Amino acid sequence: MSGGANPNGAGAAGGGQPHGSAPAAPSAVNPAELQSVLSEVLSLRGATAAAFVTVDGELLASRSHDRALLEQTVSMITSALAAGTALGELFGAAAAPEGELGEAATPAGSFMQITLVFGDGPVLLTLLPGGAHVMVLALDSEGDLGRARLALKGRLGALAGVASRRETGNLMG
Amino acid sequence: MVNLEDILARLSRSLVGCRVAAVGSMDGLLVERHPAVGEGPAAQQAPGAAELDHVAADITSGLSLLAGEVSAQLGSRIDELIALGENGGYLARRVDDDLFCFVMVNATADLGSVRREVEAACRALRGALA
Repeated sequence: MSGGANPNGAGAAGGGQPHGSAPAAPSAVNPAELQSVLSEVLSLRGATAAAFVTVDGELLASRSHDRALLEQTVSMITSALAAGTALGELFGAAAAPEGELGEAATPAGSFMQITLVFGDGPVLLTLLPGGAHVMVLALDSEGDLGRARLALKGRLGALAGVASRRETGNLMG
Repeated sequence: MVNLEDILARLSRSLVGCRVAAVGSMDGLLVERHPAVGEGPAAQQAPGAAELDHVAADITSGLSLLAGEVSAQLGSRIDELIALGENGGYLARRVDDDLFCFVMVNATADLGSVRREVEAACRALRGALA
């Protein structure tokens, strides 16, 4: 695990322990609910790791069959989000008519989805409705991308609902 | 999660000469397929992963092109694309704005049955995804 996503408080990828004993935040989500949602996402064929993060890269919860893979994924989340935000700003600036940048322009970092393809398999970062949270999903191979994107697309609202109820816990499977 | 593979498996089994049934998305990515790579009867082995990825991308291009001026001239969107050769062919049908279902069949397939079964599968897919 490294520097990117902030593991503090929310549970590091390497922590390996459910976070149920931690002091609950005022609006803490039911850990079982988070675990259930992440498990469901992880049950998707080809999914190898799943995590909720904020758009700032703070890790809220994660789950994986493979601890090393999860740590590797978590370590690059912040960089990936920063790159996506920077590209989103560039794209927004290029797409907006001159003089209309501002409220009417695409908000900074308003990417909808980022796909990173590595030798170990692609990683999908999907912005959840509300723009505050990102679902991170690592996949086995590029052949799983279509299925994963479709599955996430139909569940964005539900995922956002869970993520927005201030979450804690690292749920290693 | 919706198990699209069950619907595709039913479609594949119901069609004589079907080598593969699949769902693709209009961004060019293959979503699901049946049978999996290397499965199916030896006489009609399913195409490999890379091959079917290319097919899905090509069908996406075809449907996108046909959704333009051709559809405009017809007054309604082209929802079905049939490509036939001596050894078989493909039939692709839009499920909705984002997805399409397609089958690859060999020369023994009956086109009428293929059209009917694919249409039924598309209805089932719409229901499953609703």
